[in-house]
Amino acid sequence: MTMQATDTTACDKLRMVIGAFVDGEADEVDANDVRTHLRTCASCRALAHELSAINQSLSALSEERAPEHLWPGIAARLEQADVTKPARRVRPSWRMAATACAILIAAFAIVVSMLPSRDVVQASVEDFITYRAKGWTVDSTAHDGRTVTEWAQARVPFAVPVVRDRIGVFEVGGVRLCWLLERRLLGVTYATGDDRAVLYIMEAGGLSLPQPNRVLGGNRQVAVEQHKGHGVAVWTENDLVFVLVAAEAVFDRILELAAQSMPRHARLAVQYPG
Amino acid sequence: MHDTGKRRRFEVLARPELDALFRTARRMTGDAGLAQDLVQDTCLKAYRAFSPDDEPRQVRPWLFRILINGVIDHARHRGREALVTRNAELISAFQVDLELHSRPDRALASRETGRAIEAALAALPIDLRAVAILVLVEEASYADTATALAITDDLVRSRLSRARDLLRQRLVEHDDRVAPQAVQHLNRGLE
Repeated sequence: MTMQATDTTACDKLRMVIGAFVDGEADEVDANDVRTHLRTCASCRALAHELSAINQSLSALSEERAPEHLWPGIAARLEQADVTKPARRVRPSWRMAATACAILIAAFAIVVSMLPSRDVVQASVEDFITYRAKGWTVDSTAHDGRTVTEWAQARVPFAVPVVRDRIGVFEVGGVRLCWLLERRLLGVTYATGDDRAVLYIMEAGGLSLPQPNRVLGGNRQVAVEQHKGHGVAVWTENDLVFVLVAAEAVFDRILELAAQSMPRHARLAVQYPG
Repeated sequence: MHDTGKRRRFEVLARPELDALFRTARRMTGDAGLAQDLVQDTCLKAYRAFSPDDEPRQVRPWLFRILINGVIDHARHRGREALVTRNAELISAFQVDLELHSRPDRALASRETGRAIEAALAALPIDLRAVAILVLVEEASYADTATALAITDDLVRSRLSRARDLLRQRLVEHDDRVAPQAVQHLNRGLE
């Protein structure tokens, strides 16, 4: 494509490409067009100079270093995050069991591969355990579902269903923004006395979900599982996955209450007009 | 053993990004203490979802994505406009941490230029500032920037173009004081 030096339309068209050219992000065709144009257009050449100068100045700002204590602090938190997880299997302490272990591991892998995926279950329970260890801190404290819903809607890429003020006697206490399973999701906390449960809400895309094994609320297909001393209920609605987690002693109670008042999936604008 | 291996693997991939994460968080918020907290939260969140089998090439944009989400959440919580204004006020007087300004051989014009650039960067709207920091300061590719910000490549280009226009406008306002440095830059060849 041949550009005239005085063709302002050509200059306008190349303006953004010149930026990519200076950044080294222009493809070969665009780069050749820019080089050709710059040979004859003083205005665009001056622009390229300016952009290059800005690049030079801004890249010099990358000399700054993080404080030296930052990573040690992070490492301590990572170790703490692992500590909150229960210990896994115990290794045998004698060599003669090495072959037997290999056989057991292989067999375990086969069995696990035949089970329904527990990714959502495992990740949710582990987050719940960590959350409890951190003292039930929330990103936003609220005691009504509308406030929780409005706060959450501004922070996640999916349509947040209307959050209930309560699940039976369990009242909403707040919401956390979580990062699990490589996605942003919500953790809505419900509590009654010292008993707590968390309802995780996330997009379903790409997740391998457990098979439903119960029917609640008349027609809701739910997968109910136990994992690390916690009860977990998983169900889907539209493109969202809901995961209710609570300690075993609390789980049956809140599950039954939840069955009586399953959250309805409705756009906030519809539920709260104006 | 498993957890130690996972932590070790995570450190190998994440620790080299620490300086860039901190710089980005500090420039996005104008607060070094808050930046440290955000970086810590970023690493913890990433670690929870991390698998030792994760593609190393994707860890950097992923970390920045978590960080930027955290920064934007914080900005929304505190009021976006208030944060931008505060940033501009802070950065206009803030230069102590920058090695650039501590070099005794740097001319006054260079220090003024650096301060003007920091102020111009801090005054950008948060969505443009994020792109400018990642591409122009941290020299991330357009593709990695798009991944980090969960936007398209085209949107990276358009936001970067707008950011540059605003930066140029702000820097023109400082022409009189930074002229010697600007002339030096303008006389430099393209390649």
